Amino acid sequence: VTDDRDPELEDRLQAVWQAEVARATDFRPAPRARAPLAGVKAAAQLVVGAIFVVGVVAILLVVRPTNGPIGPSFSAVPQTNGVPVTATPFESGPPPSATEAFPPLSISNATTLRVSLFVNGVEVGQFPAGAYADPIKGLALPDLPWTVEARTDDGRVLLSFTEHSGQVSSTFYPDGQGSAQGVGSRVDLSCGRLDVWSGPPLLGPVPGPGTPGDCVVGMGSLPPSLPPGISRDAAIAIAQQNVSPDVVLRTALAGPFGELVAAFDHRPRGQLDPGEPAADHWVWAVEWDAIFNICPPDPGSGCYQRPGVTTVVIDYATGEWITSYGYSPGP
Amino acid sequence: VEALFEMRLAAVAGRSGVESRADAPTFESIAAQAPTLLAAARLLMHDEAEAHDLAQMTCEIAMKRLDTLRDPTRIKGWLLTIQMHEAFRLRRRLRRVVTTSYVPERADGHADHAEVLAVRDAVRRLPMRMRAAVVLHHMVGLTVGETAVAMGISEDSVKSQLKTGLQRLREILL
Repeated sequence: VTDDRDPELEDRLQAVWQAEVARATDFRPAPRARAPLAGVKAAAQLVVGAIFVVGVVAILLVVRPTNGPIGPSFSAVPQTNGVPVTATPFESGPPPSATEAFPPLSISNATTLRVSLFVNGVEVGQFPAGAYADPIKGLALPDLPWTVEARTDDGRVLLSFTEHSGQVSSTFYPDGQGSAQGVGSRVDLSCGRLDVWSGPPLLGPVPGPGTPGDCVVGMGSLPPSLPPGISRDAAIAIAQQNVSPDVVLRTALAGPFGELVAAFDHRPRGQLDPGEPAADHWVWAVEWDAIFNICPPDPGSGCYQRPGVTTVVIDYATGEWITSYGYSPGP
Repeated sequence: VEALFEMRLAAVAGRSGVESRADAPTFESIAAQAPTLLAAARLLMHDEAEAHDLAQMTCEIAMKRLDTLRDPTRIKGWLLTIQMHEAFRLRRRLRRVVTTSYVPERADGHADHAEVLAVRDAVRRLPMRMRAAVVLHHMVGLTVGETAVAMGISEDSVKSQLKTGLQRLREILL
């Protein structure tokens, strides 16, 4: 910062600041007012809540069967890697009275990657880091059988499974018991777990560690009309000048700024700040694993370190630095 | 409650070297910083009502957490840290809401006033994070380290935002 000082501009900023403070001199925070009937209102809410709880308990006691659990229950023990998931039915009871089809497809993307879902080779949706949809709504799916694949932005297949007709079903018995079966697949990456399933959700075990480097996403196929730009290695080298030396490369991705900023800056697609490049402006986004020093305002607490991700965005054509983002989610 | 309050005050005095209870943070010490909070909020938010809400909310949160402030001399940075946290949270919530109540001031004919409005408008045109870094460091006067803490990002990121922020301001003000 000291190399880029601009005393004249800083003086102008100070003048604006003084004017703003002078304009705000009369502001005084309002003390928190307590509603005059707050006590009465709280008591009324307490009474209503108690009546509700008593009512629910009474209903459960009336409808509870004489033996067996309350309501339908399942004991699905799914397997991974596309192996059909079959639940063990509970002890034999009356014949099934109904069979319901489960939602078509569900996803839990607990990785830091954006994932595209393909069914029979056709992309049906994109799911950013952290996306969870059970079921995924609004999918236009072909008839079964399906070959379901989850791919990274550079086309790498992270998981796949095949679903045939009749593989996904649930059965309910009059005594409230039931069974369910479905298919799904799971992959544990170093940046989190990805589940895609149809039917009952995939259960345990705890996520595995993954393999170092399995979350690095390379450059996808570029449109032929794009002008020549800097290479991926060059982009990483330039970006490295804008981060601490102890960071570890995670991802280097080229694409339209609007697409990349949505993924890396955790903001809705299409939401750009004034002064940022146009959504279709091609950039390199280079992402690094980093350790952030978090220092709370309370000096007695001391600083602590927390893992996070820092992203450097540079111009695809010229390599000029555009912006940087830091992201360190709380525990 | 009174005993706990006394213990809290003692802890504050013990850790920060405060000599007397009079130095302990109070509502008045927060209220004294309120103009700074509103001034910063007006530069961060694009809506006058949002700016007032932000400053008011910051003060309320600060009052609830007053016991965690052990060094009263750092109250400004502490309050701005709370305010920045709330500003980013508000911005995420309001991102899809188009606000229209902000009406730019017009110059009153004096050159100084026109200059202030021009610079202020330029600051408001910066992206949120860049604007926050410029406001906290170059206007409020926090150090780079304090700005990084207030924004919850690394010092390197703050330096990058400041460098680009000044560059863009120069371009806008040309």
